[in-house]
Amino acid sequence: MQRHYQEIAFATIVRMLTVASLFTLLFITAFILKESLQIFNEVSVREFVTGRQWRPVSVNPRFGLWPIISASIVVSSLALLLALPAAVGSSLFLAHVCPHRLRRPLRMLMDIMAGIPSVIYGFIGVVVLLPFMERLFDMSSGDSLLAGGIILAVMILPFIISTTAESMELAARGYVTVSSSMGVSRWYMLRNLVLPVSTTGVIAGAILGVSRAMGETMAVIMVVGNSPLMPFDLLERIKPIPALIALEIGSAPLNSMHYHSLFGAGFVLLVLLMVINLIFYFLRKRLSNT
Amino acid sequence: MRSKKSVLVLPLLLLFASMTGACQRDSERKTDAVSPHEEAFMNEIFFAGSSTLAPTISQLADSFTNKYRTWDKVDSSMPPEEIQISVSTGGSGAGARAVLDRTANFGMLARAARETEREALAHYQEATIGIDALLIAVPTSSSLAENRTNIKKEEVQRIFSGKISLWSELDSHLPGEEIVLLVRDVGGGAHGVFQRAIMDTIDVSERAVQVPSMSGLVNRLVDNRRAIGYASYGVAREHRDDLVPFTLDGIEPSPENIVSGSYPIARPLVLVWDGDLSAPEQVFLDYLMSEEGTAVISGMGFLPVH
Repeated sequence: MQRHYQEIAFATIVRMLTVASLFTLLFITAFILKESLQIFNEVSVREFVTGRQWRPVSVNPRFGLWPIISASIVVSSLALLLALPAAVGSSLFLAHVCPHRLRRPLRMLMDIMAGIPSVIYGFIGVVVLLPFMERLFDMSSGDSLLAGGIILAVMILPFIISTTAESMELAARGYVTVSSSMGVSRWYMLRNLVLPVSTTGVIAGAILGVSRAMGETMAVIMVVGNSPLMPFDLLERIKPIPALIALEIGSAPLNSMHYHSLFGAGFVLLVLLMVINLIFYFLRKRLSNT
Repeated sequence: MRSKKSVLVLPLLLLFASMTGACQRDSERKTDAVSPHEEAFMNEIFFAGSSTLAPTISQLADSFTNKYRTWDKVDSSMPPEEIQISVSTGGSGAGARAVLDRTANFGMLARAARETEREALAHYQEATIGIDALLIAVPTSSSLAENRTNIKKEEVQRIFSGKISLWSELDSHLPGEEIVLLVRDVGGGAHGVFQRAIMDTIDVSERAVQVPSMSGLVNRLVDNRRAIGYASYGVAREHRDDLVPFTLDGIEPSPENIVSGSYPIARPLVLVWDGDLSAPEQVFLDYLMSEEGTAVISGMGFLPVH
C-alpha cells in the first residue's frame, strides 16, 4: 500500500514538472509576442517581414526585416550544407569503421568540441579565418556570409555527428551480423544498407544543427560584419536575427518602437524555428512511412 | 480522465498564485518609490548600463573599496558593513531601464538621458561625470593619411553614407580601392553621437561593418589600410602610433575643444538615479567627483568635466 502511494506521488510530481516546463515555453512565447505586438500597430506584419530596409533609429524609421530574416535562413542553410557531408562521413566512420579502442576517445573529443564556448569560435574566426579570407579572395574586409557559414558549420558539426552516429549504430544492428556472415563487403553494406536506413537519423541531426545555427549569436556577430544586406553574395556582409537582437537591444530605449521591433524580430525567429522543425518532422514521417 | 484533469489543475493553480503574487509585489514596489531609502541600511550599490562607462566605474569602485573596506571607515555615522559595489553592462538604454525596474541604484548612460527616460522616473536625478569624444581616424598605413590631416564634415558624410565607395572617388590621387566603413552598432549610443553630430538625417551606408565593441572596432581599423572609422578619445590615444585622427573642418579634437563643445562629436557620460541618495550612494558619488575620482576617469581615456 505504502508503495502504491509513493508511486502516485512520483507520477504526479513528474507530470507537474513536465507541465511546468511546457508552461515556461508557453510563457516565453507569450511574453515575446506581447512585447512585439506594439510594433505591429505601427507597421503591418507584411511590411515588417518583407520590408527591405532596417533603419530603426533613422529620422524616417523603417522596420523591414527581410534582409535579416533571409540572412538567418541562408547562413544556417550554408552551414548545414557545409557540415552535413562531413558529418555523415564522420558518423559512418565513428559507428562502423573506426576501431573500438578509438571510439571512446573520439566521442569524448566530439563532446569537448560541442562544449567550446561560442565566443572562442568567434575569436578564432576573427584572428584566423577573416585574415585568411581577405588574402584568399582579395577582399577589403573578410566579414562575410561565407565566414559565418564556415564558423557555424564547425560549431554544429559535433551535434550532428553525435545524433547521426548513434542512430546509425542502432539502425544497422541487424545488418552487420547478416552481412558479414554472407560475405558482403563492409563498404557495400554501409553504402547500400546502413546509409538508406539512417536517413531519419541524419534528418534528426540536421534539425538539431539548423536550430543551433539559427540561434547562434556571439560567434556570428564577430565574423559576419552585421550589415543588413540581402544574402545574395557569399563574400558580402550579412546580419542574422540573433546578431540584430544582441547588438541593438542594449541601446533600445524602453518601450520605443525600436525595442518592440527587436522583440518582433525575436518572435519571427521563434516562428521560423518552429516552421523548420515542422518541415523536418513531416519529412521524417514521410520517410519512415515509405 | 478525471485524474488527468486534476494533474493539470494543480500547476495551473500554482501558476496563478505566483502571478497574483508577482502583481502584488509590483504594486508594493510602486508605493515604495516615494521613499525608497528609509529601509534597512544597504551596503551594496548597483550600477547598470553603458559598456563604455562600466570599466571606469568598476575601477573607481575597486579603488574606493580597497581604500575603505567598510562603510564606517568612510563615514562613522554608517554601520561597519562591507562595501560592495556591483557593475553590470547592457547598454545605456538598459541602464535607464534598470533604475526604473529598481534593479540598480545608478544607471550609467553614455549619452544625454532621453525625455522618455526622464519622465519614466518619479524623481529623476542625474550627474555628468565625464565626456567621451569620437575621433574620425584611419590607420597609419592608409594612403589618405599620407597627404592630409584634416577632413571636412561634408566629406565624412559622403564617405559614411555610401555615396562614394572607392577611395579614388574622394581624391583622384588615392588608389581605386573599396572604402571599408567601420562603425559601432547603428542603434547604439556611440553611433548616435556620430549620427547627430555629422550625418544628421542621412542614413549610414548599409554596407558599413558594425562592430559590437569600441576596442574591437579600433583593432579592425588598425589592421585594415582601406578602412575608416571613428575611435573614442581614450582608445584612439592608446593606439596613437597606429592611427591618424583627423581634425574636423580644422577643429582639433583636443581636450580643450572637446570640453568646450567646439569639437562636435562628443557625448556626456551620465549617471542617473531616482529620488534622494542614500548615505552610501552619496559618499560614492562624492568620491567620483573628487580629485582621486577624476584622475581615474581621465586615466580611462575620458575627459572629466570638473
